[in-house]
Amino acid sequence: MTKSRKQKQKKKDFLRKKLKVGKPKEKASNATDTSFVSKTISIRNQHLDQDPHDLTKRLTLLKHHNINVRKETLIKFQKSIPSIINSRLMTPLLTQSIPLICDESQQVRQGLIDLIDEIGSRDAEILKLHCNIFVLYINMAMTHIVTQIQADSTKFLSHLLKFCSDEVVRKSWVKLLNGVYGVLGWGQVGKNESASVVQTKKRNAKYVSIHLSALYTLVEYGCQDESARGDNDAAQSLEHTSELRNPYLIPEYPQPFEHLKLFTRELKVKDAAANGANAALLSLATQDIDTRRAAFSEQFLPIVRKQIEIIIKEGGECGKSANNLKKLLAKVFD
Amino acid sequence: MGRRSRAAMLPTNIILLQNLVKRDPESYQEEFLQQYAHYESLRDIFLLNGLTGGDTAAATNGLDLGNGSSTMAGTNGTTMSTSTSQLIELVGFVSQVCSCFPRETANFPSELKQLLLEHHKSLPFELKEKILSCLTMLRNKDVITAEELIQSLFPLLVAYSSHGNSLGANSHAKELRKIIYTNLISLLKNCNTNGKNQKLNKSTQAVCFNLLDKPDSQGIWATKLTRELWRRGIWDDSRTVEIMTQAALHQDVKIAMSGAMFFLDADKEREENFEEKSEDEDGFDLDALRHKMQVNKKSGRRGKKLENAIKTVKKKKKNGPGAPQGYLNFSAIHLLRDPQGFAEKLFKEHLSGKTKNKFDMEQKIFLMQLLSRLIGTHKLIVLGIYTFFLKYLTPKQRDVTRIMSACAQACHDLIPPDVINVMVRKIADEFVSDGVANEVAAAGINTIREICSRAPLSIDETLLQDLVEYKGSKAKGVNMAAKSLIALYRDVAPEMLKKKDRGKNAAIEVQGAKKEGRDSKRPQFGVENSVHGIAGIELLAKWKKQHGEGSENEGAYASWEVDDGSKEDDVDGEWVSMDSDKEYDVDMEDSDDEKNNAADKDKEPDSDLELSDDDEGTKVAKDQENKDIDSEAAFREFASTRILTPADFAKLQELRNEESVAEIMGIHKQDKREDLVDSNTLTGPIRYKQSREERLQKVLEGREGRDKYGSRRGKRDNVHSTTNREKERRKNFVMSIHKRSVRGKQKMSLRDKQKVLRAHITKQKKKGH
Repeated sequence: MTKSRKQKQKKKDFLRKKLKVGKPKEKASNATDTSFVSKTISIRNQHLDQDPHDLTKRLTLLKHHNINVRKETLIKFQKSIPSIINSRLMTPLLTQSIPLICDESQQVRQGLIDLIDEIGSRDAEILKLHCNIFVLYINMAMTHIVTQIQADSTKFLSHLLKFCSDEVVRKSWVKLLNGVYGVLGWGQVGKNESASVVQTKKRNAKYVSIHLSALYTLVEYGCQDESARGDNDAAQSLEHTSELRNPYLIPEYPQPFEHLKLFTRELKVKDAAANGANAALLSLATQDIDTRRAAFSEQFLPIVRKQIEIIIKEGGECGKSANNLKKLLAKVFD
Repeated sequence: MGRRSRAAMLPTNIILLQNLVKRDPESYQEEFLQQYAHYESLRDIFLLNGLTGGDTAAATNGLDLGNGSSTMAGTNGTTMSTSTSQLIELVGFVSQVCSCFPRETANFPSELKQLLLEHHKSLPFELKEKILSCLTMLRNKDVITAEELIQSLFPLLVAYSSHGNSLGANSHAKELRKIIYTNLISLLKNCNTNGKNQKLNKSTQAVCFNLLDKPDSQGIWATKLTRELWRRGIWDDSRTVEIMTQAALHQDVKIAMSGAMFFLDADKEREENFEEKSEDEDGFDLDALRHKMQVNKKSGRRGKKLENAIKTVKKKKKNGPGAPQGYLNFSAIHLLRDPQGFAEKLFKEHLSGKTKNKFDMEQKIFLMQLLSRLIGTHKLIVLGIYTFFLKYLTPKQRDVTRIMSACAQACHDLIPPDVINVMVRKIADEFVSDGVANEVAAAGINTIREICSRAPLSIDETLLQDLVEYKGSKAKGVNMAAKSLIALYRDVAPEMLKKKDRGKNAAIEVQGAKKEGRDSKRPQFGVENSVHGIAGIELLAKWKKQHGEGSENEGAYASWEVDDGSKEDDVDGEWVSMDSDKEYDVDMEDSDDEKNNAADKDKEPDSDLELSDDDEGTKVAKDQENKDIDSEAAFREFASTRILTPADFAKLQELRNEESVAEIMGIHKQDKREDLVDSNTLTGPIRYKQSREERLQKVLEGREGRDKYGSRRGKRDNVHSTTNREKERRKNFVMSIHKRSVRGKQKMSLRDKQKVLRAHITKQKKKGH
C-alpha cells in the first residue's frame, strides 16, 4: 500500500545522513543562525593577568566575617606599609580599617593598633588627615555597649595622641573628655554610677590605669604649653615665631577655619541652652589652649579631683597613674 | 541592696538595656546617656559618610581605574549596611525610651525629622522606614504632636511621588509612598476616633489646599487622602468637599478627574463601607410581613420573591444605625458651598473652554455626569450645557446612553422649556425614526420620558403624539418605552395626549374639568406644585377602614394622651425618628416633599387650615368611595379628626414598607422619578440571538443535578460485558445485509409486511407493562 507524502517525509527525518568527504556536515533543520554584522566590536576587558600582590583586592577582606582573616589582612597591610605609604591606597585603607575600632575581637583591635603605630611612625601626616573620622569612631567605641570594646577605646586614643595630638585636642577636646569620663564611669549628670562600670572597676584595675594614662596624655597635650612640655625643638622654633605670627599668613595646618562649620552638614539644634552646659561646651570651638583650659576647669576639674583621691587611696597600679595625673593637674592649673 | 542586684544584670545588648531602662529609668540614666552619645556619634559618622561617600567612591574609582571599581562599590555597600543596622537599632531604642528622659532627648525628634526631610535622598531605605515608624511611635507617646508628624510626612509624600528617575533606581519610592500614606490615614483615623479633632483636621486640610494650589500634579495625594478619609467617614464636612471642588477645577487632568470621580461615587463607596460593617437591625417586623403575604396567597415562588424584595428594601434603607457617632450622612454634592459657581466654572473651564481637548471622551462623560447631577440636585441653571449636549447626541456616538442619562439628569422644572425643547427635538430626530435599530429607538424614547418626567413642558404636543404612536411597535423595548411615556403624561398632563390615549381616569378628570369650566391641571412653567400632607397616609386610612375602628388599636389611642405645646420639641424628634424613611433620600423631589412634610408636621394639629388652597382634584377620587383613597383626602380626613399617635406612625411605616415591597414585586407600578438615571436601562431589554455555545451551555446547565431523571445513556449500574443485544445493534451493516432473514424481508408480500407491522405495534404497546 502506498504511503502518503507526509508519511514518507516523516520517515526521511529519521534516516541517518551519510557523511561525505570534503563536504561540511549538514546543519540541523532547527539550527539557529548566530552570525551578525557590526561595524565595531567591543569586548569587555578580561583581567586574566591579575597582580597577585594587588593590595586593593585585600581591602574587602577587612570586612570578612572570619576573625582570623581580618587579623591576617591587617598584618599583611602592616607589613606592606613601607611600600604603599605614599600611594593612593592609604585613604581607602584607613577609611576601611578605622571602623575596626569597634570590632568585637580583641585580636583584631590589637592588630589595628599595630597598624596605626606603623603608619604613624612612617608618616604622621596621613593620620592627621583622617583625624576627624578617627575621633568619631573612638567616640563611638567609648560609648559602645560591649565593655571590652569600650575598655580598648582609650588605647586607640593614646596611640592617636602620640601622632597627632594637636589636631585631636583642637578639634574634639570636650567630646573626647566626655568620652573618657564615660569610660571611667565618672558620671557628670546623675549621682549614680553606671552599672557596668561599677562591676568592671573592681575586677580589672589594669584597664583603669590605661584609661587614666590616656586621660593624662590628653590633658597634657590639651592644657599644657609646648614649651612646658619641652620635648621638641620644633615647638621652640614655633614659639619664637609665634609673636611674629601673622593671622593673614598661610596657617601651618590644613582647614584652619573648619571649626566655624561653614560647609559641614550638621543637624540643627533647636535650642542649645536647653540641653545644659555640656551641650554648650560641645558646640564650643577649642582652638587654643586658653579655651581648652577654661572648659576643663569649668566642667571637668572638680570631678577629676574628687575621683582621683579615691583611686589614690585604693593604691596599686591605678594609684600610681592617678598620682601622676594629680601632679600634672597641680602643675597645669595651680 | 537593690542597687547591687541591678548591677549584676549587665546589659549586653540594646534590647535588654531597653527593658531595664523602661523599668527603672532613674537607675539606668548613665547607661542611657552613654547609648545616646553612641547614637550621636553614629549619626555623625553617618552624616560624614553621606557627605563624602560619593566623593570617596569617586576617588577610589579613579584610583583603581576600573579593575576594582565593582569591588569597591560592594564594600561601600556593606559598610552602609552594618553601620545602618546599628543606627537603626539605636534609633529604635532611643525613641522607645525617650519619654523617660524628656530633658536629655528634647532635640531627638527634631533630629529625626531633619534627617528624614533633608537627607532622605542619601539615607538607605531601611533607615527611612525605621525613622518613619519611630516618628509614628513618638506621636503615639505624645512626644511630638500630630501636626508635627503630618508636617514631616507630607513633604516626603510629595518628594517621592515625582515621576522620572530623578530619585535614583534604588529609592524604593513606591514602598515609601505606601508606608507614608498608610501612616497618614491611620494617624488621622486615630486622632478622630473619640470625637473629631478639628484642629488637626483643619491643619491637614490646609495642607491639602496648599497642595492643590500648585499647578503640578502633586495634588493627587490631597485628593487620594481626602477620598479615603471620606470613605471612612472621618472627614465629612463641607471643607472636605471644598477641597474636592478645588481638585475638580484643577488644571491637571488626573487631579480634575479624581475630583470629579469623588463627587460621582465617593458616597456610594462610603455607604458600602458602612454597610459591610453594620449588621442590619431591621426597623420593621419582617416575620409579620412575610406571614401576611403568605396568608394572602400561598405560593412558594411568591414567597421567595417576597424574601428577595425584603432584602432589597433592606439594602435600600441606608439610614444605618451602625454608622459611627457624629457621622453626617450628607452626600458630597449636598455639602457644596457654592454649587452654582462650581457648576459654572466646571462647565466653562473643562467642557467649553480652550482647554477642553485635554480630556478624552471617557473623562468628558464623567464630567458631564457630574455637571448634570449637580444641576439636577441643586436645580442649577447652566444653560450652555444643553446646546453642548447636542453635539454628542447621535446614535453613533460611543457610550451615548451615558450621555443621554446625563442629559436627562440635567433637566429640572426651573429650566426654560424652550431650552430643553431643542435637546428633546434633537433626540427625537436622531434616535426615533423607522430607520434605526430597536434599542436605539427605545433609548431615545426612554430618554425623552426621563427628561419629561423632570420637565414636563419640554416637549410639544405634536411631537409627543408622534412618539406615542410607537406604542404599536413590534419591538418590545420600543413598545414599552412608548407606553411608559403615555403613562407619564396620563399622570402629568393628559390633555397633551390624544383622546384615545388618555385612559379612563384621566379622561374622566379632563371631562369633569371641562364641564365645570375650570382650567385644566396642565402644568405651567414657574408654578410650583408642591405636595402637602404626610407621605403614605392614604395607606393608613385604607388599613383603618379595613380593620374597622375598634380593637386594641383604639385602646392604645385612648391611652395615649395629647401633649401640650411645651413638650413639642422632643415629641417632634421622636416623630422624625419613627417616620422618616430614608429609602427616598437619594430622590431629590421626594426629599423635598419630605421637607415639606416635616414642615407640616411641626404645626400638624392645625395644618388643615393650609389645605384650603388646594382642594381641587380630590372630588373625582372622593366619589368613588371603594376605589383608591386619595392621599389629600385621607390626610384631610385624618388630620382633622384625630391626632396621629406614635403607634399610628409605626403602622404607617410598616404599611409603607409593604408598599415598597409590593412595588418591587410588580403588583402595581408607580411612576417614580428617580434622581439618577441608569444608563443601562435606557435601551430597554435587549435580547440578542444566542450563539451555539451559549445555547449548549444553557442546556447543560439545566441538566446539572438531574441524576435520577436524566438520561441513562452510556451509564451502567454494574460492570458487565456487552450484551448480545448490544452486539447485535452494533454489528456491521454490510455483514447483516446479506443475511437471508434480512433479504427475505424485501421479498415479503404486502400482506405479510402488514402482519409484521401490526405485530410490532402491539408488541411496542405492551412493552411498558
